[in-house]
Amino acid sequence: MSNHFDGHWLASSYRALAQAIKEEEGLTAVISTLGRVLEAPVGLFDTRGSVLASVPSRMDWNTEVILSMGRDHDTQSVENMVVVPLRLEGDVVALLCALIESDRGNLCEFAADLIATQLSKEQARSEGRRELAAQVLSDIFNAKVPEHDAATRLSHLGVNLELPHRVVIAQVKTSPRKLRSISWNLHTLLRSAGDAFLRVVIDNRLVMVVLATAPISALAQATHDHLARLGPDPRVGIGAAYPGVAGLRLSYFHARSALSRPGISEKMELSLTSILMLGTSTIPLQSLSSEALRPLLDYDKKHGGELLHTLAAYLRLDRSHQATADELYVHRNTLRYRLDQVEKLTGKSLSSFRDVMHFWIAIESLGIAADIASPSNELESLPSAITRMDFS
Amino acid sequence: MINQSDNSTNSKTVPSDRGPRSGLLTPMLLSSSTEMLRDFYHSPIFEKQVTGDVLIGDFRLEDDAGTDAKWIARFQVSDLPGAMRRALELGGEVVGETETTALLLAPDGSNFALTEMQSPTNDSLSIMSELCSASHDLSTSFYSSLLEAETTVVPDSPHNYRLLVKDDLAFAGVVDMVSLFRENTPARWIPYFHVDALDTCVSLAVDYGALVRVPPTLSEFGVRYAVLADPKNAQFGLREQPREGLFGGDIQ
Repeated sequence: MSNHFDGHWLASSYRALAQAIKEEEGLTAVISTLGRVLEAPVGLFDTRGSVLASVPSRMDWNTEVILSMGRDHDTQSVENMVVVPLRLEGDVVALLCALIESDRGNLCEFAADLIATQLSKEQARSEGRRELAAQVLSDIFNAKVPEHDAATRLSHLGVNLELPHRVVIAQVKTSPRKLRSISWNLHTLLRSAGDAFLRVVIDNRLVMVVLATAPISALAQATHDHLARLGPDPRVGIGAAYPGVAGLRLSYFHARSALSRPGISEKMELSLTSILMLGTSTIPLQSLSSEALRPLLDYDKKHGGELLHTLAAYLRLDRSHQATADELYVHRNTLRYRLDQVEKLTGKSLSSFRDVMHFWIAIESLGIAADIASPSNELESLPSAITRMDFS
Repeated sequence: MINQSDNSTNSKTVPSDRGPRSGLLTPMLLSSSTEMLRDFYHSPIFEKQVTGDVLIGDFRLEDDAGTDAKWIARFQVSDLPGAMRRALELGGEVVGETETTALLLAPDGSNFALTEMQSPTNDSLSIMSELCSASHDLSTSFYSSLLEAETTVVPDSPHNYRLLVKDDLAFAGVVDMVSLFRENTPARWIPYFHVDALDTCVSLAVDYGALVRVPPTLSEFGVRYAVLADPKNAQFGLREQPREGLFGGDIQ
C-alpha cells in the first residue's frame, strides 16, 4: 500500500468507495473495494464478532482481539491491525477491521462512515416496520380487535396462526430508546430484509412471536445474552405454543407471568381469572375492576393506606386472619380494622361468597392489567400488592 | 466447494445421497452441552439432516473444557483395531474409545472418529465434509494413507482444493488454509448442510445464537455457501445446492 500512497491513489480510492456503496450489495462492495485498494484483508463484524463481510471471505479473523480493540470506541491501531467502530445514534454497532499498519488517508474511517450511513437508513426502515407490527400485536394482546381481524392482520405480518406459535418476551434494565433502536441482527438488516419472525418492542419489553418448531432454548439464550450486554437483570419469559389468536394471547400472558423470575423461565400456570381476561374483547373487565376497587384505591392514595394491599393478601391467603396478619406484620386487631374499612367503603361483605368473588376477580384482573400496562398508564400506579401478584 | 454444473472431462463419480456408503459416515458433534445443541440442530434450518441422539455428545474431548463444541468427520472401517494401529503409526493419537468407535487426533490437529463397520448400516453419507488445514500436505497424506484413499487435485481451484477419493467416490474435500489461518490454528472438519435459502437460514441461525465465520459467498465453483459457529462454537457450513451428490455431481 505504501508504494501507492499518493494524492491520485487516495482520490481514486475515495471515489471507488463512494461508488461501491451505491451498488446493490453496497456493504459487501465497500469491503471488497477497501480490500482491493489497501491490498490487505478487510472485515466487518457485529458486536458479537459475527462476520458481516470479509475479503478474503474465508479469512480466519481473530475476533477476540478485534472486539477488545473496538471497546475503546475510537479507531485503534495495533500490530498491523486497524479497527474502526461504526456507530448508530452514538452506540457502537459494528467494527471494521483491516490488516494494515495504520489508516493512512483515513480510508477505513471513510468506508466505516459510508457503511454507518447505509446502516442508519436500514435501521430507520426496520424501526418503522417494527412499530407498525408492535401496534398490531399490542391491540391483539389487549383484546382490542375481534379475533378474525386479528388473524388477518397477523397474516399480513407473515404469521400464520393456523400453525402453533409461541410468544417470547424479554426485558432488561435499559433505556426504552436503546431497546427500540438496537440492531438485533445486522445480518438481516444488511440484507434489507425484515426479521424472519416478529420481533417488536411493546411497553419497553422485547416481544417475539415464533413458530413452535423454532429452537426455543437457543433463541432464549441468545436473546438473554444479547440483553445482558445492554443492562442488568435480563429476563426472558417463554410462553407455551398454541395455534390461533386466543392461543397467541394465552402464550403472551404465559410469557409475561414467566418474566417474574430472573434469567430464562418457561411459562407459568395461569388462573381461571387470567384465562377469563383473555376472552374479554367486548367486556371492559379491567375498567370495571378498577371501578369496583375505586373506593379503596382513592382511600389508599389519599391516606397512604394499605387497604387494597391488605385485601389482596387476605384473599390470596384464603381469608385466614392469622396468616394475613403474619404476612403483613400487623396485629390481628389492625387487620380486622382494615377489613372493616374495606366493607364500609365498598358496601360489600367479606362474609358473602358473591362479594368475595367480586373482589377476587377485580383484584386479579387489575393485577394482570397492571402487569401489561405501559409506564404511562395510570394502572402502573397501582399498589405493589397488585403488580406483584402471583397468578397461579 | 465443487459445483454441480462443472462440466467434467475427466470425471470421478461422487456419491449420491442415497443408501449407505463405506468410508465416510455422517459427521459427529462433540459437545458437553448436548441439550442446547440438540435444540439448535433440530431447528427447521437443518431440515432433519441432523437427527437422533447418536450424532451428538457421544464423546467429550480431553481439551474440551465444557464450553466449545466441535464437529468431526467419522469414518467407517472394517477393522477398527487395525485402523487405530495404522493411525498411530502415521502420527495420530487415540483420545477416546468405546467398543465400536474411537476418537482420534490427526497430526494436523484435526479430530476424527473411526467406527467399526456394521452390516447392514442405516447410516448414510448425506452431508459433505471439508477439512480446513494449514498443513495441507500433511493432512491429505495422513487421511489418504489411513483410509487407503487417493488424493485428487481440483484444477484451477482456490486454496489448492483437493478431494479424498476411494473406490472412485470423492468423500471429502481438503482446503489449504495456509494463507488464511492464524498461526498454530489446528486443522478442523466442517460439515456442510443443505439449505434452500442461504441468507434467510444464516440470519435465523444468528438469531438462534450462531456467529457467522464466512459470510454468504459464491464460491469459484458456483456454489453459495457460508460457514458459521453454533452457540457452542462448533463450526458448520450451510450451502445452497441441488441435492444430487455430496459435491453436486461429477467433478473435473
